[in-house]
Amino acid sequence: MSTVNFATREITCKIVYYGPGLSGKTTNLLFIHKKVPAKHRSDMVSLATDGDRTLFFDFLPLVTNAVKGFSTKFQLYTVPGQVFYNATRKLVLQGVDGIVFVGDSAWNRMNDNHESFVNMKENLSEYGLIIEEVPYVLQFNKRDLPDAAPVEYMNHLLNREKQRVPHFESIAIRGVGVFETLNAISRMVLVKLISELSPKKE
Amino acid sequence: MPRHRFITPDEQKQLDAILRELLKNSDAKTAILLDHGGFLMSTQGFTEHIDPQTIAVLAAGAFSTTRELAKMIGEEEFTVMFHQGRRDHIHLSAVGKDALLVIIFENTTTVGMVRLFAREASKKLASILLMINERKSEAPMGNIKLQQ
Repeated sequence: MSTVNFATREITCKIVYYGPGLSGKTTNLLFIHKKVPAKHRSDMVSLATDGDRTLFFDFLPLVTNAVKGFSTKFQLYTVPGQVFYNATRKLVLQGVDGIVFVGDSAWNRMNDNHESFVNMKENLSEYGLIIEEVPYVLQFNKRDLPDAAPVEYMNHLLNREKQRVPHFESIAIRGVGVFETLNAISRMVLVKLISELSPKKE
Repeated sequence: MPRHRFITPDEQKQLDAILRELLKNSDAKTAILLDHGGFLMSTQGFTEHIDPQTIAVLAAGAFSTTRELAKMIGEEEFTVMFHQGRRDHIHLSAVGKDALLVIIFENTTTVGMVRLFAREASKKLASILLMINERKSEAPMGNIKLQQ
């Protein structure tokens, strides 16, 4: 749920990076954290296990001037991808305004991608949300893998809701496609927010 | 629950004033109002060496986790959480249906005092938040435009 504060002139939106374990969600946030100047972001918080697997979430707050007259804050979260962490995954989705689904391009991860996408829809429904109503984009990560599945196949697998959504090819560890994905989802979230806030014409 | 929340300058003033009064009465150090999603709504008091946004996000996570624990033993939620440190302590309590109040305090006051005034403040905060949450989803102050 985005918050518009007319006293502090701030808009705050929550974007969640979702996807199967080890698909590169945290890597996306780490790259953003590295590249965004310190004045536009705070420190990244990672609740991870000793083995650097996300246990609860990663959190990275960004500040932009995307909306005229407002300071626009994006709160970027990741979820833990491993199947058995579903309770925490669900908690992180609370109040979500936009989602980046990070799919793993390796052929042998296609089932995991599909399962995670279905799981995302189930968890959204627990908050009374349906996927068509939540702005989201797909990111097909690890495109540098020698056995990367064709983009057409990944779209066939994951981009088959009523409304097709933008997809981005990425190599998150090198930053390829990371900001393209972030720019697209943040714009989609703000366009939706603004259209819902604008006075309706009779 | 609405998809978006608007806080007007007047409502923000009221929220801030309740937190300030709470700090004055309880002798606590910092008070932070947030929602279950970790969105910050007000911060008052001492914030020099802390990041209220990060505290809000972690507190929301901690509260969500204990709510799941509560469900497992047949409770709807635990309405109060208390973290005791050597010098600084954190009191976390539910405000209405979807907000939380974090109070950071030192040994100069007691958890009993903090709890007493937190309860009082929570009632006042909840009634303002109810008003905010029930507002129709249309910007109360004109158009908002994307920067080109």
